[in-house]
Amino acid sequence: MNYQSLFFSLALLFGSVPVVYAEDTPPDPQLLIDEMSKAGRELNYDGVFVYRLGKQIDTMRIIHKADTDGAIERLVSLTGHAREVIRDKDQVRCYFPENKAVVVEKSRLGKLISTYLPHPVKTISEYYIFEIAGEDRVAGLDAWIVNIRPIDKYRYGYQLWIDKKSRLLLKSELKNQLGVTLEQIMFAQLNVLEEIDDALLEPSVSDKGFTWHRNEVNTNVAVEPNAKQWKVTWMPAGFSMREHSREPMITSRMPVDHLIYTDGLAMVSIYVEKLNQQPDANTGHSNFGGVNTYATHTDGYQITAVGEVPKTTVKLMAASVKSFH
Amino acid sequence: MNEQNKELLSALIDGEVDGDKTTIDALIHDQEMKDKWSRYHLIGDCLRGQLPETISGYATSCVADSLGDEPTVLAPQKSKQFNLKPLAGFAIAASVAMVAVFSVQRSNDVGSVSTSPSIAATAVNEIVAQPNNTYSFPEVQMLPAAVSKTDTPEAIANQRLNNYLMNHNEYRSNGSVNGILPYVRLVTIESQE
Repeated sequence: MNYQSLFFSLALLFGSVPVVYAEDTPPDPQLLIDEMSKAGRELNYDGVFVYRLGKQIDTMRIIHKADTDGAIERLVSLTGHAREVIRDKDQVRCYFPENKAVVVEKSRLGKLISTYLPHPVKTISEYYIFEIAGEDRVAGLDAWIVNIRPIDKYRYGYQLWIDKKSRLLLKSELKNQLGVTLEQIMFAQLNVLEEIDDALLEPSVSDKGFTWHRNEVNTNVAVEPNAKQWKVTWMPAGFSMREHSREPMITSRMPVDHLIYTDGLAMVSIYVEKLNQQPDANTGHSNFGGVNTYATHTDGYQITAVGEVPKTTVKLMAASVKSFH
Repeated sequence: MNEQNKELLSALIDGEVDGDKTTIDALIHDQEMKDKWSRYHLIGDCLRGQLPETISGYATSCVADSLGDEPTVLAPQKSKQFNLKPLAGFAIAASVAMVAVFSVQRSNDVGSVSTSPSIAATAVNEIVAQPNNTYSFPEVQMLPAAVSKTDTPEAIANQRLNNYLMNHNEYRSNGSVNGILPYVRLVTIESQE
């Protein structure tokens, strides 16, 4: 019995079979992405990556523990403020040491889209073209490069570098129609581990004296009688409404209508909020990295579209929102 | 320049539309458009901290002039500026980078508003008054300091957008190609102080 088959026998005995991927022949790009999503969820890993936005570069550490009842993830900023985000199946805690604040949000893990990309990923192949673009080396690991190119100008594309061996994502670039990189993540080091020590998933900052801001979703939001219903009447081909919720927000007296539209990859949130006393609320475009927003008013309501899509798309979608009873 | 052209020019500079030669030629056919084009680029580069080590006296005087004409390009403006100063005291997004990016995006609104020059505009004027000098960018980072009140309508509006972004990111994190990217954004915002 050679080493490898012994390994497999042992793995079978203990109930987990690590997947071994072929490393030489170029894989089917869509299959590769499915495998990447799976690896990202099911493996334990600890890595350091750089995040680039324009000329700004930051370094972060990510620790991911796959658990039987959901993953636990900890993201730590290694540059600038020592911010941390810890996410488990129930909640997301964001630590802002510079403000002595912790913001808690309810985790929506698995609620909205159970996998990173739709299954099969083929369902979005009408709107995106998938292709293996070559090979490269990132974080000392051999990687396949996959292009995800949109078919029209209403969405952005991605270029992904995926570890040939573990199928983990090593590098990701969000690109606009002209191929300009809007945001980039690149691992400098990434270790796949058998186990993750729980201590690594605790915040390193002391939360003593911190103010806790809880923004967890209250499911018992009273719906006003005769509340207006909202609908987006224009969206790029392939988009559809995935979810409609009414969410309380720290800044809003009334719950905010939240409509989510997606083509399976790009996602646009539409927020509709009744304006009480801020007639001069912000309108127009804003942008942060790959995220564009567009705000407009209608009938005493503020409508804001937020999404990782070109500014044209958020603008057209926000402008197309109509109410009906 | 009509609104449509402004929108197109802005989109071109943002790289949102494909700027083939015909489009650009059609758009930039007169001096006004040429000036606007270079000004948008220069202002954009300036706000993003991507200015070359030195820029020509012509270009700087051009910016200085344009700032005189259009202080609102850089100046915090009542309903337009986007310093995302949070209400509850946790500064998630009051970043220079954020303000800068937002301001650039808003530069196509300059025709519709006007207000008195502010600290930010003054700061920029001071910089550009010394053409051909090498300088770094920190001066313009006064921008966020120009607004400190957190209970003004615009602060509330900013905080509202801030919440939307957080909320969207959180949903997004479960549907993304890369589940961590939205949080990466959250963690890096404001880290360039």
